[in-house]
Amino acid sequence: MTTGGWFFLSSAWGVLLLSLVYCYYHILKKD
Amino acid sequence: MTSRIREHWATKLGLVLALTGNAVGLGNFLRFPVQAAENGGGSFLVPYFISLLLIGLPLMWIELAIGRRGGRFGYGTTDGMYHHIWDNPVAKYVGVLGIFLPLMIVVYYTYIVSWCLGFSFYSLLNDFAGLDTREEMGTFLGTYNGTAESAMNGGLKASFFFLVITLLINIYVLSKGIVGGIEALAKLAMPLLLFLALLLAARVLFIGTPDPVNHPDWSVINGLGFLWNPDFSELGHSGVWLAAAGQVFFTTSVGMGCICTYASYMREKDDIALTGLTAVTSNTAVEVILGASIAIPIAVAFFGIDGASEIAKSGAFDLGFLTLPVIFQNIAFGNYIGFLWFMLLFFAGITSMVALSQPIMAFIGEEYNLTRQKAALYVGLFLFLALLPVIAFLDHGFLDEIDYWVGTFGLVVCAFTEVIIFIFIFKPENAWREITTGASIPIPKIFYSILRFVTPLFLGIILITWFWQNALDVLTMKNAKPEDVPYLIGARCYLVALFVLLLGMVHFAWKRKKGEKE
Repeated sequence: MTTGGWFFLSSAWGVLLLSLVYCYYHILKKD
Repeated sequence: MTSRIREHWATKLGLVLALTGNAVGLGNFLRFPVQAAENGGGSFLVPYFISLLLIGLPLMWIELAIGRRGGRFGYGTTDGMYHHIWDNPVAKYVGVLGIFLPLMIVVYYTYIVSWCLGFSFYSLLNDFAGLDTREEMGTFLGTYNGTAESAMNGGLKASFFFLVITLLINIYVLSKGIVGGIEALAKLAMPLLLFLALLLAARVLFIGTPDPVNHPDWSVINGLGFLWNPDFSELGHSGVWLAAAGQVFFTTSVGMGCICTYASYMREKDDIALTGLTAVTSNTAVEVILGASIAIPIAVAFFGIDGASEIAKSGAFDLGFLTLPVIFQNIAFGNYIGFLWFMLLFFAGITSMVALSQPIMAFIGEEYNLTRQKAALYVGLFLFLALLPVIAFLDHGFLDEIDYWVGTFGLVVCAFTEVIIFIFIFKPENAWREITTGASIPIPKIFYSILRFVTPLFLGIILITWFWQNALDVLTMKNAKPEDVPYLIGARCYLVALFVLLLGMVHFAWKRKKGEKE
């Protein structure tokens, strides 16, 4: 696994996990 | 307009989980890693995320908006929804696509889901023991689905047994309605799916290097590298962009009519922006985080990069049903891991299966005034009967032919008609108002232009390219074996007959409604 590989993996995971927290926080707040 | 009181989703979370369950399917765990590995690894994520913003998310919003608007006027399927948007007698017949495509897809999808159930059972009983090669697993699968002969398993009898169980689950969930059936299933199946996927991903990551002496390079980390190491030279190839757009398109389950039907059970002011964003994000997270951490990394750990490349080329289906069961035999408690793997696919499949069945349920229930129980029973019976030729002629490419026309080509056509009707005929400003009504998060204004120009253009390019590259060959059966040609013609006649039947049902339902009004 190259540095570029780790960069793409961690960026994608990071963006998605943060988006999930943001979305579900708002969804659960509305419920 | 139908007069019966329509159901509504009980909670926002239930709707989001049901939409995510619709989108998360076998492809998240099998198709995505294969596509990424074949198209530039980590750099595939660049066109993938761009396509998500230009096609996936806008189409999700468009379908939610069409559905919520349709539901407000009593329509649960796209025939009525289109008719209400486009005052033209043709509109309702164009909308038949939103019933026909999911119905045809669910016919063979149910069969594949039942294989997952059957294989989880065989794995638990350790019946794969001794099947050390993909060829032997191929014979096992062939025996199970009737395309090969051996004494490895119960053959078609066993296959029918698991098919009937899968159909009964489908009938039961559909008969319980939106809140008691689909929403309850989503609230149970999605957390379970997440748990199974996390468990499997963790197990795979701890495998490390299974044979450090003979194959020190065959490791899970190198498997992740195979998937994630960027190859930017690939970004210059249009094929990679098309592959990314295609993956986004299929994974978000747009262009089928299911999302419109689900959205018809939303309330007037329910949030489309946040619901759509959450469903797309959840599906993408399952795909990119979990889907990419199971099948390909473990394949590289046991077959090396070259072996995994070969496996990836043989297709996502072979990877899941033939390669992984062979690999699982080489790890401790492999039969239980195999059981979890096929249960994961089964749960991913059943939530999509009920979503695909709901448009026809809504149509016959609402337009022909059937109770939910009766409608579910008729749908189950139809699926069983419609599956018989698919099972009988499986070896002759019958299923693949249907899958191409409804599961690939049809989806792009359906999405294209949705965009034309909702954005251009309904007018962009009305479409934007519909999408943003009730939104609790602001949608950046740039999406107004994306919806108007970029999404239709992107879809048009995919449609023309696919038609140009594949459809003409498929249409003329260029690569078909001569002995299969009669079966492929049969598959087309089968599709045309069922499409005409649905056109007739829509025509009759609207005629009857007109008569009732007068």
